[in-house]
Amino acid sequence: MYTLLILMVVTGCAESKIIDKLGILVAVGYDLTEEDSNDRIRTTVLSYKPGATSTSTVPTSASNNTSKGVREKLSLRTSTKEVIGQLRVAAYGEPLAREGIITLTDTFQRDSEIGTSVYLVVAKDSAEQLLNAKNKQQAGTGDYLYELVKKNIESGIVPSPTLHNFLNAYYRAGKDPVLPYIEVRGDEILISKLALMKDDRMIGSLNLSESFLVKAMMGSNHFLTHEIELNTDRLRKYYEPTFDKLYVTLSHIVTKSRIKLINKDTPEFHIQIQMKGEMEEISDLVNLEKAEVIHALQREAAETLKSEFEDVMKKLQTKQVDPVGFGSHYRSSVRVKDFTAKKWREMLKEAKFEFDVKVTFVNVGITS
Amino acid sequence: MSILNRLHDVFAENCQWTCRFFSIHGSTVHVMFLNNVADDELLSEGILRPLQKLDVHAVEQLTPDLLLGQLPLKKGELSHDLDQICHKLMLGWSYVWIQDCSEGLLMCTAAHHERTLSKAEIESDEYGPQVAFVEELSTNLALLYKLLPDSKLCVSSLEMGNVSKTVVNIVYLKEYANEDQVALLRSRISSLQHINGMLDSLKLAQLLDDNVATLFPTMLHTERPDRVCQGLLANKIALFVDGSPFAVLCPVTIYEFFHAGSDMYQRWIVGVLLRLLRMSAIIASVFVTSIYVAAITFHYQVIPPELLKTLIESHSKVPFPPILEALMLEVMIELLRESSIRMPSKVGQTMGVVGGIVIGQAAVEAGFVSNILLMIVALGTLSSFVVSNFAMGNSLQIIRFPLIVLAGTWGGIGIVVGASFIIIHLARQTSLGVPYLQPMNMLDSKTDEHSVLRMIWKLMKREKSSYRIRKPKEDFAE
Amino acid sequence: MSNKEVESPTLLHPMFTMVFMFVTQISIGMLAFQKYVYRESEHDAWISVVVAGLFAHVILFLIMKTLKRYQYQDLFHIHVRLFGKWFGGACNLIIICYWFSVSVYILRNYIEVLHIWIFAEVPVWVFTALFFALIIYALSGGLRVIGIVSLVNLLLVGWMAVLLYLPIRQAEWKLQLLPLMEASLGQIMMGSLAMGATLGGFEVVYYVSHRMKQPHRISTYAQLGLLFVNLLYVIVMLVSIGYYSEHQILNNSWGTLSLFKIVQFAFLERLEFVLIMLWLLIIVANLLVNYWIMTQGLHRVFNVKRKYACIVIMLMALVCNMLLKTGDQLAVVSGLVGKFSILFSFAYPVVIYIVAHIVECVRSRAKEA
Repeated sequence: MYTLLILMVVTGCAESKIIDKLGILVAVGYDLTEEDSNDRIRTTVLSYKPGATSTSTVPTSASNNTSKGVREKLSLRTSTKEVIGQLRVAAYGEPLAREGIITLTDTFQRDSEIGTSVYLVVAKDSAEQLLNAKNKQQAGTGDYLYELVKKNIESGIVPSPTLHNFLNAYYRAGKDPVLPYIEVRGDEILISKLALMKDDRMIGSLNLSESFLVKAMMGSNHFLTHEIELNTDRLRKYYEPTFDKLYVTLSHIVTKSRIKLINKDTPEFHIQIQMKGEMEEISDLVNLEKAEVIHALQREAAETLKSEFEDVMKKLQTKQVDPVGFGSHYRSSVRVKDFTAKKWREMLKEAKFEFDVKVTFVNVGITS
Repeated sequence: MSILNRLHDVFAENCQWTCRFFSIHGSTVHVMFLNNVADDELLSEGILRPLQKLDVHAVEQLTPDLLLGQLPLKKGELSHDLDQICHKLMLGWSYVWIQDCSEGLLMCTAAHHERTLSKAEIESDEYGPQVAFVEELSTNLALLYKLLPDSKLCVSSLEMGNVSKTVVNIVYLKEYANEDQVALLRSRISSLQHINGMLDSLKLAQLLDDNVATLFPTMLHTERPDRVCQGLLANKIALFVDGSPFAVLCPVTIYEFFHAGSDMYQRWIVGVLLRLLRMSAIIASVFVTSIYVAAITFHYQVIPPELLKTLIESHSKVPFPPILEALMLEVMIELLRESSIRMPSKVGQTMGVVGGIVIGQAAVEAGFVSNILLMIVALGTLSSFVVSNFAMGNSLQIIRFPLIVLAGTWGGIGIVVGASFIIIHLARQTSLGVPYLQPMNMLDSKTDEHSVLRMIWKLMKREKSSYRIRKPKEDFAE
Repeated sequence: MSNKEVESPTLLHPMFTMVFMFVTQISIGMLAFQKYVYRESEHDAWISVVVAGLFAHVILFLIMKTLKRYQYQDLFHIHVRLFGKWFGGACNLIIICYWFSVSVYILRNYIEVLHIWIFAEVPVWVFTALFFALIIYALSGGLRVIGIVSLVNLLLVGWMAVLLYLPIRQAEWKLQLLPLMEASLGQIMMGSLAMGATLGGFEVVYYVSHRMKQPHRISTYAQLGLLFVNLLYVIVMLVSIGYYSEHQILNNSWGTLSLFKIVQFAFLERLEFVLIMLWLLIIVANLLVNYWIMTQGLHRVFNVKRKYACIVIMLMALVCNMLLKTGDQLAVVSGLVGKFSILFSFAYPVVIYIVAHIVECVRSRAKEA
């Protein structure tokens, strides 16, 4: 009855990978090497090492011409077998990102060990520096980076930068990827902006409020908070301004966008954006008991957002990048044969965008 | 040589052998019995006293026939066959022999050493009839008759065992049970005549199995009369062995081993959910340790990041590979189980403390096993207790070991190969020619709707006509 | 043990037709069909899948017609009745060769998946031997055991389909599927042809029908089984088109497996590993049906014991598996087997139907005359 069992045991067992005997990589960083070096890419890995008291992550670096070939050199520097199956974050130094990262992501895609939910990030200056940095919480840098990006995808301004999302956008003619841009400032690691990618090259960045707007255009999303500046001119009749400017902060924001191609030739897009949120803070004393006041505030907020949206689109158009994926919308509504990224970039420059923004304050808190 | 002398020879070395004689009407009447085996009161009231008070003048000649009419016992017969007499005497009967007669009287004075009916201990349950079978066959049958007083209930009696001469009863419902299966069972039992002792129904069940080389029981034993009745109504055949408090039901499918009697008495939703819970617990108990071993040894990729750190930390203190660690702990738990069954119940408490706290806690602290594994093995063991049938429970415990070995050498593939092997093995088994792994209702549309999950009583085809109440549903209730 | 045993029920519930259709159609093809169809008809690939499915239904209808004409005898029998002993035997041999090639293709491809994902260093023959041990054990139990094993294995793997919900949530149907029918009719047909290679295997009813109770019910169950399989393929195709972008799907050799890479639970993630392991059950069930057909065929043609037939086939399969060493050799063989599959699943039943029709007409005329 147990012939099978015997057969399996006799034929020997497969190569085991017992978790505490492995150096499990949680983050890798890639940088360009110094110009005088023979090697092309400097790789830094961050791996779990079970220590005497607690499990910590340890960085190791080496250089080589290919990102996987570097393993050979890395293994000379570590006592454990390095495995890549638990990779969570891949960081690319900005200089490298500006040259293009597709060959480095291609190896991830090829490797069956790596999942497609790895976060790709761009690091300011160098990835090695990022992975060696200490953060305030004293958590392992790999875990910290993972949690930081994860949280900001769920309720912040970062559109999901997983390997799958990156490749999905990269391989799609009408869309470009965006990646979070991470900086080290002193003993703090933070997402300072979004890196705009044109194909696989970083060509610019979006600041925080631009990032918010771009993410708001991408289908339905949740945000924790956002601050909107209101034009006070038309609001004067509702309250006595003490300051020149008026700000409202929305929290628990839900946005929904609908993109429609209304003119094939120009092309012209109509973008309807609905934003719902709780109005949590207003920077001046305004009596919010009357519905018309709230309506006026909503109208003003929508106006502000609309002009901001238009500004962002102009910036994207001049850079000829399309992180929102208008190209895909164009392709799915017009029967065009051989739709390519190159053609779309030319069209994007000429494209017109018409925004219809609607802001709704779901409530204004428990006071009025 | 007279019967008396021959009996004296047979029982010469038996100190219980007693022979009393009376002189009545000029002839000597011998009363022979085995002391203590025959019931004292029955003997004195049913034989000795009537013999003494026998009105000697009313009869001319004392004959066995006449005596049979005089003795107030419920069973009695004439016999001169020495083997039969010896056999009956061993069962507590008495032999009354009138000197120089060719025949004597066999009178039933057997003492009943019977324990009183008690609650089901092994298959205890919250609902349903609580009574359990006892060691006395006639009592067991009486319990059954009480639940199914129908003339369709057939009981055929067979005797087996050269020495033990055990009575085996085949019980089934006519028109329900498959005639071929009954015939098969009968022929199998009769081919077992050479056997010496048949002491328990579980032994009989093993001897009647279709396949010897299987780990899984293919006949269901139960101590609950209501379970037997459910089986009989679902076209099964029951076997009773005198002296065994377990009835054996066959043919069965594997699913029936995971049933509990009370599933049927609960609301159907609860019943279905309980069965689902039990099924998943069984799967967990068989596979959980091996999955852990496989994940830790080979498939670090499938562990989520939150869990990974904990696992690494808990295992990094253990000097053994996971497979050894798991096997060690499983053996330990098996030892605990086994010893707690054999121990008197008062010591059992101490066992729990020793096992749970001392071994568990100390092993973790000494760095012999990781605490996560301890928890997982405990979960597996706990899950295995939901099987009310302990024969099946033991089988499930055993198949964990090869699975752990496979997981430790081949990872997840090993587990799946093992599982596949088990499935094929089960699929090959039959119980009285009925496929073991196949739900009954797929074989024959009118057998058993409850086999895997249970049906709603009212929707069952067989029960339908009797109490299906249909309210017109035109609108919501007022 | 007694000598007189109850005959084990040799006839199966007609529902098992459905089970057999499932396991023969969803074998290795389910893991990697997207690329080949998408290459032909791009984002209208799902229409190709539907079209291929409809074709399959029609062919299945013809198969059932043929079977009904011959009182649900198996194809080996039909061949002999149609073409006589010698030519019919030759046809049977060709059919056996076809199933042999399919079984090699399936097993070797699955081993390839295991190599890529799990154990890169384990030699091919070890895995092959492992499979054969399981197959011999089950095959000795006959079709009833195979049926039950297939059913249980299907149920054990089937729940994974629920997990497709996660990639569905990320799918952008609107952007990826529209505009409809952008591919030309020719492209869609080419796509269907590519799909046909995957969809082949439903002709298994030819071989199992004579072992079913109430054969008149087989037809319904067979069509129903085929419908489920088709639906599954369409769903997976739709999810893949929505989830991947244009070139991504073409880049990915194992589209279905990669769909499961994003599934994450609190205690388990990277469900593609689980899928690969559980897929072993499907492969085992599939190979069981394949080997059963082959042993039946050899038994019929050469009148050898099934035991020896099985061992001979396995030795040959082992050699074939070991000869295929690299991925590109495998790709060539897979392409070839795909073509066979189209030929034997889609074209051949039509031929048989027509030939049977003609032959029977001629024979009945001859009888009348």
